[in-house]
Amino acid sequence: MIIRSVVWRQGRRAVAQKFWQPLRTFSSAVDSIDSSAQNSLKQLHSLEAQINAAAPTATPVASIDPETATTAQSAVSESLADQYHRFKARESELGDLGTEISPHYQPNTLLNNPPSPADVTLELLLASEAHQGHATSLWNPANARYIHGIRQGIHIISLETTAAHLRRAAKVVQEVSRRGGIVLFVGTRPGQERAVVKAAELSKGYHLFERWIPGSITNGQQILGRCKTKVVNEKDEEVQGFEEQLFDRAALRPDLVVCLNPLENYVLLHECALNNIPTIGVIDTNADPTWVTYPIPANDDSLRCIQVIAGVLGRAGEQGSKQRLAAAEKGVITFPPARNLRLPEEPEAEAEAPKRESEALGRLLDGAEAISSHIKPELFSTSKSDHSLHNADDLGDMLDETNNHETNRRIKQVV
Amino acid sequence: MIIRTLCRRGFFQEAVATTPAKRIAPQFSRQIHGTPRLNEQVGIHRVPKLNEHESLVQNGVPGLLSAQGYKTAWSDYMEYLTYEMNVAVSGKEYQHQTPEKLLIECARDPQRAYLFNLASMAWNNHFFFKGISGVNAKPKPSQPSSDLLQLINHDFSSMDTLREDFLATAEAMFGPGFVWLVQVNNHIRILPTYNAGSPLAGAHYRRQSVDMNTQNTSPVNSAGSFGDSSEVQKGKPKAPFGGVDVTPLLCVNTWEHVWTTDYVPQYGFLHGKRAYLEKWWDKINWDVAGHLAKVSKSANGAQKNRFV
Repeated sequence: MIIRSVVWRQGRRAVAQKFWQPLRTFSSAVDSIDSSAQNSLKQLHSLEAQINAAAPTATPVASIDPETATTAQSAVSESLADQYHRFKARESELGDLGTEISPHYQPNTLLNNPPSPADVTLELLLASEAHQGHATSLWNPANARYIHGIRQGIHIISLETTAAHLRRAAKVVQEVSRRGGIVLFVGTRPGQERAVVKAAELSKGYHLFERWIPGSITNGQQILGRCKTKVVNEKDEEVQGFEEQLFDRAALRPDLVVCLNPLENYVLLHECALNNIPTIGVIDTNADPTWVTYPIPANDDSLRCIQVIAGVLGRAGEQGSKQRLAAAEKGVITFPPARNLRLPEEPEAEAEAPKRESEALGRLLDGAEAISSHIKPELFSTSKSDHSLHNADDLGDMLDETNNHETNRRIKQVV
Repeated sequence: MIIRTLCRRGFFQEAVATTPAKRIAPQFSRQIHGTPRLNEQVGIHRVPKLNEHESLVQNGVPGLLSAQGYKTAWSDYMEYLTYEMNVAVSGKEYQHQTPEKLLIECARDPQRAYLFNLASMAWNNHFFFKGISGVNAKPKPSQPSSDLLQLINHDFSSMDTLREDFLATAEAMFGPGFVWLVQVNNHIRILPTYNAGSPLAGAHYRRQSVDMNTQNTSPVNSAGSFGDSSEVQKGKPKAPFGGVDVTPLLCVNTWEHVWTTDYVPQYGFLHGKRAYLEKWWDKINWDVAGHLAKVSKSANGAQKNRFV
């Protein structure tokens, strides 16, 4: 090491000439090797001495020595997280040197950083294969208005129509989200999980990527009756004290359902229709557009297309919830509070409960200047029977009464 | 007669051959046309745009390279590199990778040694021109920031010593290469790399910091020199596997095509190179180097997670 760095400064020719000298010993093989090694060592030492003597102020050039540069101390003195952040900072400075890479499709960006409604262009939809319908023999003639033409035996969906319908659906999602509604994103085909979860995360909504259990809306109390619910205020902060009241409330229902594969979710869409819940669906050329309220004519078989659509709707929901929270910061509440909820009262004031309750109810119904609590979010509530809990039997009776009450059934009897 | 003359000069042939095939990948266009034009930028990789591109093309780098010298060192050479890279990566799964990631991947893959060379040269050359950028308008050479100056004084005792060491290292290297100023664990070091060697941490297999022709003192037989029980490893602290974690701060490109256009040696080969090196030292943009030193130092530096 020492020789190398010193020689660097002084020139290599001087070293090369004197370095290897012919052997002069003629003893046995082992002895000769040993003595030759000794000779070489002596020569090296003498050479070193010569050069060191010749160069008075030969300080070695500070060069990289991997063995000493990464000592254990320096390596582990930094935490892994620090090392990673440093690496990332360097990457951002030096990572894109060399050449410019032409814009290209990066699959992860659709899921990690989805496009917003403003980014919807015909080029994006075309690249995501949204225009590709099914074979012409499999079409649903109700979709004729969305079809541009036929190519290679399949129907081609008109992308302008797709874009227009997608923007409309995005507006619906945004508004429902702005008004604090429950948005449920449903995508039950394999591969749609991440898209659906990301959309729900962005819009502060809910997701479903496994089979929809039939009756979750029409028979909600049975299937979802034991799910935990909570009461939140206008800033989405949980409010304690409503546990008793929540115990006997009806199951929650979504205010908007976005379905990415309507062909496999007929039951879900039918239940929504029975209960006046608007639905958005990705309608392929073989799907029935009347199953949903707001169809988006597009290719439901392409994961890339689904990711674009779910991403756009998720971003719209994100925008809506941001508007809602921004308004809440200013004191403007964009939704009517939950019905039939009373403020959690003190135990001593139980005697005055009925009077207070009606007052509270009045205040609740006034809205803006009143308490701003709402169940997350329950806009269709049942009529509350004014029972107090005396024992467990009463509880059972009360539950039965609530469950079996005719107002729980949303199907209107037409005589 | 005129037509015959033009034919003999190959004018019409060239006109026919230069009709570009727009959507054909570069390797196919070579088969069809024979010798495709180098300046067809239809591939994935394109020549990066430097900040003062127009003024550089017109005037070169004032005080270092003439317009022709800049054209040779940057425009033509980067065009060649990007073309070759497009040919090498088109159709492969790594075709959209940036040169930095590509060179780290290929550094340990002997089958893709050529791709390493191309990616590394592109990265090194861009880094070199980035390090002398932004100084066209300024008449005086810039000075390093106080933090960087402190580091330099600690490791090299003064700026003049650093300059002497650096330029001596660059001059002593025979043939093409780069010389880097790198930061390692809060120390500043000089690192030479021959040919297309890279100083980056992950590409240490191809750092090429020694001239194999003259510095061959490492033992040929390295059996038993690795592992917990070996003599070499006894008593040494366990180092992380892989290269040293370096941050390059600045570099000089000592490839001949960069300086031979403008620095004709009058009294010998070394004089041309020496003059180029000294002029380059005055063109260093120390803001870039200082910024990189700061970036590599800050451990907690509020880095935004781009994936959340």
